[in-house]
Amino acid sequence: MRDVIVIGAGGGGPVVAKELAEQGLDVLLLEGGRRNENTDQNYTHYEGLDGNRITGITRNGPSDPNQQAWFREVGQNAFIWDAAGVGGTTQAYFGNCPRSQPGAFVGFAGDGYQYDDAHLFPFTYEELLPYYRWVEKTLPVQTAAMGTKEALFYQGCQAIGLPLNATKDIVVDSFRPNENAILQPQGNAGKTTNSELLRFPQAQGCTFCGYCSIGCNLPKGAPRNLKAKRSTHNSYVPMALTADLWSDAGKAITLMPDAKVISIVTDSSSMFGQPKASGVRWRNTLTGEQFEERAKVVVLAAGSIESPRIWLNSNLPNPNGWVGKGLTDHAMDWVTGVFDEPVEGFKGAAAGARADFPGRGCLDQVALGPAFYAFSLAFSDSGIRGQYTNGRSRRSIYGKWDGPSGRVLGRELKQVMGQFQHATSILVITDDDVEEQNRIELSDLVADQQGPVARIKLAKRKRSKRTLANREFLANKSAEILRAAGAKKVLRLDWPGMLLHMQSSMRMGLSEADSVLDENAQSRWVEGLYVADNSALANGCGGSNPTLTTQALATRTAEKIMQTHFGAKPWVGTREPLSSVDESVTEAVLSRGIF
Amino acid sequence: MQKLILSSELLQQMRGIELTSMSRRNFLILSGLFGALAPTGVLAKGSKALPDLESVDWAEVLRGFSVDTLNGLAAFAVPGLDPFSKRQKLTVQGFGGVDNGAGPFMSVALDISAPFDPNLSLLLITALAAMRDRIIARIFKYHGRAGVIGKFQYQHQKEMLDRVDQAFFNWLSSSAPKQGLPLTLFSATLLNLISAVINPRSVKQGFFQGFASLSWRQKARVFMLLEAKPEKLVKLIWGDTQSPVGRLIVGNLRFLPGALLQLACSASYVEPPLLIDFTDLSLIARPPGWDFAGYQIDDTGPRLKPVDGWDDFMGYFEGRTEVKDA
Ligand SMILES: Cc1cc2nc3c(=O)[nH]c(=O)nc-3n(C[C@H](O)[C@H](O)[C@H](O)COP(=O)(O)OP(=O)(O)OC[C@H]3O[C@@H](n4cnc5c(N)ncnc54)[C@H](O)[C@@H]3O)c2cc1C
Repeated sequence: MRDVIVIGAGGGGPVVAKELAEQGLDVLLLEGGRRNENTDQNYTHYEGLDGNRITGITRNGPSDPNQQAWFREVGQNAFIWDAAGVGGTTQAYFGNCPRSQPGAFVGFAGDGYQYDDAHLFPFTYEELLPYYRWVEKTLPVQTAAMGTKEALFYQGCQAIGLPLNATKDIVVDSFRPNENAILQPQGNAGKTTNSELLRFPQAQGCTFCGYCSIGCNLPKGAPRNLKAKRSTHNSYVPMALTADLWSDAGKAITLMPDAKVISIVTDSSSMFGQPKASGVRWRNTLTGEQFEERAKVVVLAAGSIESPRIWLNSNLPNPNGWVGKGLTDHAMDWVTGVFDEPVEGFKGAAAGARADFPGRGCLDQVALGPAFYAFSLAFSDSGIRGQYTNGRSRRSIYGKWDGPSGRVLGRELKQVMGQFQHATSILVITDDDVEEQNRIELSDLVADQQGPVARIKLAKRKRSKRTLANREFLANKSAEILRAAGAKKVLRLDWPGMLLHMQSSMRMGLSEADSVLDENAQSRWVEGLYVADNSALANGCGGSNPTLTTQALATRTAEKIMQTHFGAKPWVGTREPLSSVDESVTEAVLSRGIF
Repeated sequence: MQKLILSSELLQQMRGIELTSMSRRNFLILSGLFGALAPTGVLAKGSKALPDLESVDWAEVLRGFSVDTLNGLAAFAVPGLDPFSKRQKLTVQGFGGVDNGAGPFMSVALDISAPFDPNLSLLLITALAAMRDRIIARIFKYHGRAGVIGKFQYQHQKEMLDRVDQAFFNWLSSSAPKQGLPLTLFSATLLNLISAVINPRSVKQGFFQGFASLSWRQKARVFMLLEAKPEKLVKLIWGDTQSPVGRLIVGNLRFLPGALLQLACSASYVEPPLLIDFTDLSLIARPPGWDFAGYQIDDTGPRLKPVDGWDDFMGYFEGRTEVKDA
């Protein structure tokens, strides 16, 4: 019998695993995808190979490349971008670590902006602050360096009168360098293209390669915990695997990749007449063998799509019907600016600069390689630009950008792609409302060996008024910034569902009527079952990129688990955390042979 | 092996799909599947002899058929000077998606994106084949011509079609299509069927049939139709949206057109696998897509590779390397 089984080694799961391992618990971390080792040799930055969402090594699929990817019933024009494997989607993420907008929490004094007041976090922003600081130190989070593209973005922001935010908290409309979970460049990093000079230790931190979304294996030669981007694969997992070596009380976790969980097992004999989580059943994706193991506590962290799926396939209670409901996705959009001069839009951290708008969301300047970039220009809900508008009204396709929004294809795509070096883009990240209609449910048509697959339902045009208004506001702001920075052509895409940020599909909340988790992230109806991924978030964090908040919350959840089930005292705020780049961790990682 | 399991309801309904011989024949013609056999030579022109279909390598025929359609799509997304771009009457100087190998790239990507179920190909194609006779008649009436189907009026022609039909569906329901094709074949068939709706003249034999034979504007219209109201389209063409099969088709129609367009664009700029030397993961030559986009790679070393870093570090905004709580 384990103390704790954590399902999913993505953004949230490894945080709980590491915190509990540090406290000396016996933790089993199950991950459905592969564990990417020896990435100096085994990882490439080809968009068509490892960057490929269908066949690449961070695809949402089993580790055997000859097996097909995991299937979801999507049923609408949408792109779902989550990654399987140790590190989960943080393998592909940009590492942006803004704190949530404070207005997304209960007890917020108000700043004149409107938030999703019906679905606030059930505790205050101030309560989460010590956990933010803990995670920021552990990852660690650092202020992003500047390259040509960032300088251009700041210039545009200043030109439209946005002030600079030189703090970690979002208070007013403002721009700033991103707070990124990326080690900043040192030595030769950022100063040369010569790969011989970019090896660790001559180069440390971010080498400006621009391939964040494919996965970070740089600088080459760096120990696993000193790779630039702090995916959990590079930060929390190496710590969890070596907890016995750097923590006096610590116990190393057991990490099991290729272990796809089928269901959570429960006992009916709990004190409160509720079912109690007692273990997990999984299937080895390589051999097909099935296993079951028991634990005192189970933590579900399989991501916002698979967590509700596992819940529903386990036939766990769902009395208010909110399991899977209330998915937020930040109603993303894309605005591209083309400039006369080269702007090096594909160099450096994928997202080094941002602007925040309380109650509205935020803007991230984003770099992509040519294939992803072409994709982003062809992705639209407004039809093919200049050909048809897909039922969109005139009002919704025109704005401060040039011409109508729509898919850029054919001759025009070729023209814009021909100016690839002269372009930079802004990702619109909307503060969207929790709505019942946006949800994950089980498919009644198709299943795989883990049971019915997830069906994703997301209204695009029929979002709440506030969501739609926020999105328009942000798309127009993006166009203003790009124009003010000197863009000669500005294109707005009007993306359909781009699911990179997925939150709140198993939300915690104040009200029992519309939430699955209580204020401790424990399930309301199954004792000993916690949720620790993005799905546990109460809402879309005011449009802030969600992972830091998930990780802070997961740290708090780990403490609650220790207090409730193992009689321990809280530790956050009582001492300083150890950074994942601390020498003691590096030594532990090297001595354990983690590559 | 990761497997897809179709619900029993779905399978039951699939078995219940009544395909009249008329609708099966029409489907074969309109989808371009019949025409796809032309290059094999089994359908000798003017011959009244029934074709020998034993020798047909369906996997090969259908892959060729699908890739042709997908190349038509690649030329639509990123036109070049290739024959597919010429055919659509929109060529643009420089490389195009077809030159970058987008067609075959898409075919592989599509097929591996859906776990294999021996029933899936059969189901999707059968569902497409259940196209209403009424709509077929209307297509041709609308265009005011007897249409291609009219040419298949003689008994021996019908028999020939029935043979092809039988051989094709036998192959589809056997385990042979395991080597992929589930989504590629569906996508190609779908695009060609809608192309027939847009322009009946697109129904012909050999190369440049179906979608690949349309003009750039007509291709845009195919997507306009596909994107507009999938329920309406499915109801009109297949007469059913609520049953499991109907829902599956509607769902696919909502998802696939966009996915196809986006995939065509990224496949036009990705490094084609053919240019990668897998022994050391270097590039044999600069991918045309990269060249055209002016995308830079590390060419300082002996072999071409994506860079390990750029020299674009300019310091920190206002020199600030750290910020504190507000
Ligand atoms: C391109 C891109 C850029 C992004 N940039 C940012 C950013 O800058 N900042 C930010 O905050 N967020 C960003 N995100 C989002 C970020 O990656 C997610 O918020 C984060 O990874 C979510 O963590 P999670 O634990 O909820 O899910 P995931 O990270 O998706 O992890 C879930 C894990 O569970 C595993 N799993 C699923 N089902 C099972 C099962 N049945 N059994 C066992 N294991 C299972 C999965 O394989 C996966 O590893 C980005 C995402 C993308 C795609």
